[in-house]
Amino acid sequence: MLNGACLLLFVTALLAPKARAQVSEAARHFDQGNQHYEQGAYQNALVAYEQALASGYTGGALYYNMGNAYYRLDELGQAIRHYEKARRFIPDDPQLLHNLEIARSRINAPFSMLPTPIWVRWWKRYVVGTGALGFFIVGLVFYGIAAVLIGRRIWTGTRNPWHRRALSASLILGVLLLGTALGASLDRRLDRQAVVIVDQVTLRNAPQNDAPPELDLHEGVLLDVLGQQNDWIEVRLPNGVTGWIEADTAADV
Amino acid sequence: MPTRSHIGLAFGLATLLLFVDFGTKSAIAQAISVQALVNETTVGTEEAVSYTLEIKGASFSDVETPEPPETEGLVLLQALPSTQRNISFVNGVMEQSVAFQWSYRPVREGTVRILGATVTAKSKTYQTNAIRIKVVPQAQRSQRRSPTRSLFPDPFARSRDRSDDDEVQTQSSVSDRDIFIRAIPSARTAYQNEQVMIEYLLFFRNFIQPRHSRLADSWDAEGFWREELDVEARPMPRSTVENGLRYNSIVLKRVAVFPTRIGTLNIDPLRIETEVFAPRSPGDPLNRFFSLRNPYETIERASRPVTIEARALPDGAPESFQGAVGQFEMKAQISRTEVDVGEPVQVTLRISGTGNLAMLQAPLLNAPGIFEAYEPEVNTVIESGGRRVRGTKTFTYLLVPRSNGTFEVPPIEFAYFDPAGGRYRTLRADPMTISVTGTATTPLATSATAAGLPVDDIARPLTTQADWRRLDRTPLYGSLWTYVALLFPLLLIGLTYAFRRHATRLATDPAFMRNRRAHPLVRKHLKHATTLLQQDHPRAFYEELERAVLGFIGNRLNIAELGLTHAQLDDRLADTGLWPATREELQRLLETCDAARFAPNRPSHTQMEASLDQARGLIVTLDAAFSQQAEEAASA
Repeated sequence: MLNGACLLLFVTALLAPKARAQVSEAARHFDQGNQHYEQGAYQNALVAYEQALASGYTGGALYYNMGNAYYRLDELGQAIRHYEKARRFIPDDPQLLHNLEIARSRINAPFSMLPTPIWVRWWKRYVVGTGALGFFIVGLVFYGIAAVLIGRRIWTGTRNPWHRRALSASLILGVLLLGTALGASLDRRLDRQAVVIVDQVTLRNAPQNDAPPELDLHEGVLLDVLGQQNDWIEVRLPNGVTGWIEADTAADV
Repeated sequence: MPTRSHIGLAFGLATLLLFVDFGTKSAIAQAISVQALVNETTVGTEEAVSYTLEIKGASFSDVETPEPPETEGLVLLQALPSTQRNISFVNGVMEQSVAFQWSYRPVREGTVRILGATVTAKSKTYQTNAIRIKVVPQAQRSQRRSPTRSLFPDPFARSRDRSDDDEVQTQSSVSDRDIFIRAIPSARTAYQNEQVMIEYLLFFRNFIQPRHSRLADSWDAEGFWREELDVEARPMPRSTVENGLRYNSIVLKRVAVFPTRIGTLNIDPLRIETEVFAPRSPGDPLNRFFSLRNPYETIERASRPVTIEARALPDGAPESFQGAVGQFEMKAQISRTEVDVGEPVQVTLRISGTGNLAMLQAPLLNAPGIFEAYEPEVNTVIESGGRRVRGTKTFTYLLVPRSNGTFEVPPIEFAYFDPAGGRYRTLRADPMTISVTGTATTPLATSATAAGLPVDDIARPLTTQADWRRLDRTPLYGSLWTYVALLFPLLLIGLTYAFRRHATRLATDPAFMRNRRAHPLVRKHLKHATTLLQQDHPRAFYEELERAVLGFIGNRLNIAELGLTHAQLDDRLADTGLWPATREELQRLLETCDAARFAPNRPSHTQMEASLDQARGLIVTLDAAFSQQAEEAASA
């Protein structure tokens, strides 16, 4: 056990300088992108931001700034897509919410929004937004306490009421928090979204070019992706209407 | 019966009339042409038909006198033809012609025919077409013509006909056959949006002079987009022969139509009103000057409606196809390839050719997103002077770059359907590279919200990135460490339980405890025996050897081995079912140990080593036997 911990520390110590170098590389490109942006060279700013991503690191501010650059280049689909990406890191940032609203006000999306259940909103805001790892670590602590208490009970045969209460509480908290953490982690994978990035695309009721058209979607519309079949993706509109569009007309958030 | 001089005068006056009326120029008489003409295609039973063979471009000596043509329902009145030769100079070019004329009389009513005639001129043979003639009862013809009227004008006929004038004043003196409109479409079937040219020709006999023609009714072509083509304001009549009668024709209207939908589409007839000069004796120029009544009368004529079958375009249209049908060329130009941010760039696309130019839509220009693209300015120039609509449509796209860099405008594609080839064609302009220099200024927001955010504009970029996260980080649910962390406490709990249970059993189960201790103890005794062997203490060696073997048996079988004689031990082992050979070997070893301990002679070192090996082998054999027995007991 002790040897394993030592090995982990040793590997971490070896890798830490490399990780620090990659982060500073990403930060350097990020700053370069900001400079280009200030000069109005939005295309060059995007190139620098992409280089920051290529160094292997990302963050809410990076996606937010990319959204700004795309907005200035009048690519509203890509702008909204990157704002949505940023929202997964900094969901409550007032500047992000403002810019997203401004970008959305410029797109052609005459859809009524289906009301979102309150528990879904709560889940997205406080659980998915916080991140799975925090819940997992806290849950693991309670889980460990419960394991120690069980071990003590086995070893010593202790059966007093306080021991039992402490064991129950830590076990319930541990299982709940760990389940929440795994759920939040899976949510990122299952909750696939995409944004229309072409001027106009026709929503059809089957994944074929000659399938009857449902309606036309315009650039910047946020869609839930329900499935994929060859070059087509099945999507759900904000108003609940579902259909198929060609996969290359939308980009994943 | 007209004489030769009479015929010559008539030809001369006819030629003169042609010059005076229309100012036309006769064709240069180089090639020989043969035409068959009659004076009327509708005659009474008592009227004669004059049949004339006119050979242009040949002198009298070049032509062999032809045989009169065969007939159906007519008889020849004279075997020898009247002949006429004519020479004229037009623009310094000599034109000569020869005419042979016969007279026929009908022998029955109904449709009769004069069959084709054969003419040999300059050793070449020419064949004319048959002419159909309608023979009606003479009573129907009495008001119209004297029975013996011939093709050629009679200068004195006018006075003869005067008495008839009052009778026919209320009736038109020209028939539908004398003047009519013919609509000639270039095609009867066409693809949707394909160009079809329709020409409306006014045919009139050469003794009729139309003037002041005007449209009598509206003309429409529903289901078509149409483009008027130019016709001459003062048209030059063209001489033509229709069913043996000579006509002049002029173009009234020329229009290009493009079916906008599929199916059978009708085009209205063209209806005109015109004043015509029709002398009672056709061809008599004196009639014009000496007639006491207004020689012009107003008549109305209409063409037949035109029907066009419009069919759908074939499948397989390219993506860039927007309905263009015809033959086109495309040229693309860019005003400049190096600009500053904010300066406009013009991309000009010229599409020229024949087809539905006015309906062409602007091809898509997929400019990179950094360009602000405006709706193209469209300029259409249609050339309607020819027989087909052709022209040039120019699309001028305006692009304004908002950022610097080098950008490529993808090739502009224009697809059209070529009806001649029956397939779609795609024209593709070369890609254009635009280099943009300079910097753009960020638009300044005019006002801000209470939170300091700009109104109607996005907020500034963030300058710091608080936490950098790895892009390739494995999600929690997919990480091995997640499951290791979850299973590790469970494993510890399990180990704790197992260890606790083991300790309890050792404390409460002597047999289990002795069995667990058998192996360590025997190893300890044998190790001690080996030490005694090396130190050469035979007695102590054999005591230790005996203790090892008996202790192992006692621990494994949970019996008090110290109080047993060799015989009692053997019995107990026999009860456990131990093999006799093993028991015998055990007895031999125990006896050896006893003998060595109490014998006066010291055993040799070799004997001691042999006893140690024997004891080791025996313990292995006993262990295997006891384990087998325990397994059999457990399974039973």
